[in-house]
Amino acid sequence: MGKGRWLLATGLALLFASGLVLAGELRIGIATEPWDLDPAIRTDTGSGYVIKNVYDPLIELDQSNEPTTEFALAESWEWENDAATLVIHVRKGVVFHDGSKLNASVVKYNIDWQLDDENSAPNKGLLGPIESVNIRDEYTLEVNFTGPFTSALQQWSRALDGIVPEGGHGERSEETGVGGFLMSELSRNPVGTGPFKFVDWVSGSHVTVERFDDYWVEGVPAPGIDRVVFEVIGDEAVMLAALISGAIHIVDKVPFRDFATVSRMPNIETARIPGIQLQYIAMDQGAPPFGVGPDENDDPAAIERALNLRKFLYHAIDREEIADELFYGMATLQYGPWFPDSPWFSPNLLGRPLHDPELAREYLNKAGPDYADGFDFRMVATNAQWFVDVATLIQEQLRPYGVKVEVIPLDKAAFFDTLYETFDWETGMEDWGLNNFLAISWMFSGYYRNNHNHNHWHHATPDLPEHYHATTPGHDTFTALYDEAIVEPDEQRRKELVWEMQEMVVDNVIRIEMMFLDNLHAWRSSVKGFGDGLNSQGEINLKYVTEFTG
Amino acid sequence: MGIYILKRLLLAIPTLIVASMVIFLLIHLAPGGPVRVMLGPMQDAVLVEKLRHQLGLDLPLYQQYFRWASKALHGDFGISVTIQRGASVMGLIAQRLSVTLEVAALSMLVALLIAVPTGILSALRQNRLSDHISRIIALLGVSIPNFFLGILLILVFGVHFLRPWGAGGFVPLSKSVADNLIRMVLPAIALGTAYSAVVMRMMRSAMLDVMGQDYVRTARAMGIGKASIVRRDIVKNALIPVITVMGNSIGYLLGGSIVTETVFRLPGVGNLIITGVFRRDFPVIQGIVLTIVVIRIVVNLAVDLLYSYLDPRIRYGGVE
Repeated sequence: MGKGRWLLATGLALLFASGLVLAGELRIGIATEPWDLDPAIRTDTGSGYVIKNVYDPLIELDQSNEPTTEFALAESWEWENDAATLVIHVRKGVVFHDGSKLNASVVKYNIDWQLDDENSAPNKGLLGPIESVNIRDEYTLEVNFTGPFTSALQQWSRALDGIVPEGGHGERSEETGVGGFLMSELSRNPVGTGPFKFVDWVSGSHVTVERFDDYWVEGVPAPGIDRVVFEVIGDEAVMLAALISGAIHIVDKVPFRDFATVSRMPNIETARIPGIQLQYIAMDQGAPPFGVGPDENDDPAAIERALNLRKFLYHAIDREEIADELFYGMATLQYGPWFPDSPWFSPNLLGRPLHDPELAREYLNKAGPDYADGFDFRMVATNAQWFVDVATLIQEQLRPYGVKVEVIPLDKAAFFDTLYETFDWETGMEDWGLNNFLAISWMFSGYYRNNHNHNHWHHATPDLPEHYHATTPGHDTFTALYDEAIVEPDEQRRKELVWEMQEMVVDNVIRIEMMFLDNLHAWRSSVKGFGDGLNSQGEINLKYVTEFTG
Repeated sequence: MGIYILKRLLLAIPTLIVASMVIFLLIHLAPGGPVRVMLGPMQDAVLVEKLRHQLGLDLPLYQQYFRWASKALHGDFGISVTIQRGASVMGLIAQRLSVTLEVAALSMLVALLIAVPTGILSALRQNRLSDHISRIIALLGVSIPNFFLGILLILVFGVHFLRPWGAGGFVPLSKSVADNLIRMVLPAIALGTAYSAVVMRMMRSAMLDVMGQDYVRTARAMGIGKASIVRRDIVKNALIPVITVMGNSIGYLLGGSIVTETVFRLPGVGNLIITGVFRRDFPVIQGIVLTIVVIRIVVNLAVDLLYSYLDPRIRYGGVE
């Protein structure tokens, strides 16, 4: 080989080698690409990973989901006027990535923007019954509710999980597409007060953020991190290969089947945290067999038949088998509509039977001769593999009763179209992130409020669509219990009322809540302290990282 | 020639109109729409209607089509509604197409580097050991799905052998040429090897066909050297059917790239269209499909024009 060729070869080798290692770059593998980086309008998980690190919330929740001021922009708060007024003291000395300063007026802008109906903010309901928002002084905000609203702090931790600069959402414009929920100025160019500032978003590939040296918490971002790249890796096998090879340092989640193997690998740390991802079966209560049709609405026999069939399903499904076979036991079985280890969960529900073939058979017989020897129904599921796996296992579990289940996998758009447009379904295999940390407020948003959802307990209101006619008697009693509980000053009594409401939900089998899946995390040992920031919500929170050694 | 090109371009107009109508209709026939996807589990009926109105999805289908088509005529494909909210579809396509075209070009290069020499060698040494080996390799290349080969390559070269390749992913050329090329090597091999098998077989059979022609025998009788005959007469003529296959394979490379891009996490058009379909991003899907149709029309025209360069007997425009 001639001298020139050697030089060329050496040059190329150096050129390639220079591209292999990027010091100070922390790479995180995320399964789904973000949709929208404006915290006030995002609804997806992928965006949440970025938002958590680019913005700060007004109120943060600690590991036990109690309100805290750590990494929160509220320095302190107090209640006045019998918990109908919340006074928030905004943290001083905090600056946004664009150089603007945080003060009470900025926080008021964030609240007002979501309250404006024109913006259709998805979390508006979480803000509560706000009457007025007033600025007391530069760093003090006063929020008046129409009545006592003690769940504000928990709910606001979600509704205001990213404070944006004043005017940050931008002006509505047909030309640019800016217009409330559809998109804002921050959708692709987020500006927050968080430890990392936005650099770029290459669609289909990655989002890059870099360290914000003026962050208000000393020592954050951790030494060693100059840049963070959120890499979109849709394939689980590729994601794990990248973690093992060291090409990425953190994965957003580990598949259940791989968790044990990954846990044994050198230089990789893992954590299993009880999660809030609630897996449940929704039933169409607006049509037989699990509900009643509009013409049967006043027919007690039809209502009884539908209830018996819902109870059959409740007892025929073996949740334990699903948890063991498909999730390797890494799930918490549910006995009702709340976290079973919470003091707000009804103790009366804990001992009740879940899977009970004899009871199931009994309810099937009670449903009448048309059903006693079995019946057919459809189960729609989004086409993510584990939804289909669970539905298929349920199909097998119901076979001995003569019940035939047709499992219909659909993509999300077709799934929601089926539930809300065509109504061609009887049951739906679904999940929901239950990031509502007060039992009483979940009783409201999950069962009291008539928001016309397919999986709700419908009751008669003038605007209720025809398909969602009131189907289950007892809702009036339920709402009366809630109305009593929400103003009850004695905590023990309030708890008992919430328990009673939960028991009603289970007795009427409004949904079949099956289990909360654990969050499975894995990261390389070079990201020190990452495990301290893990919580039930499965967030990727880099504010807790103490050191990154590459 | 000029008239021929003009005729072909004029013929492309009705093709594009019909294609755009079919695309538009098919997408809107699919159940669900972007608003349902956007809202996820919070399907509030009032909000659904409001957002549909804001996006113009409550208009009759023909009005939606004309609205979109009139903008598309001016080069405006609209904005993405669910993939990267507010991003210009044209910008997204340009960004993604450059990745797909790079993968396709590198895959084609890999394919040609493998296929042309082995095809020639195989034909020149027909029924000998090297021919058998080449044909077996070609058979394997066609038979192994490129997603499987992709995962194998990641496991071997990404995890166990050369770790930096483990992540896949993409680095723009503008950021780092070296990083860009490093990350393109495995996808190009995964996609190019399967394609090379097709080209190699075509090259071999075309070579054998040409080698049996009278003018080759005549050239040999005239005492022209074997190497010269192979280079100037056999290979050049054998390339005509190969180029036809290559032209048609643009569709294959774009289609194959959907799988390859997913496995190697490349932000190309294939990846974009898959996400667009799942998220019902109508403007994005319409924009991409129309772009692909245009590419195919242009490539087909280019291939036809290339024939006349390779075979001077072929003339277009009615004059021979």
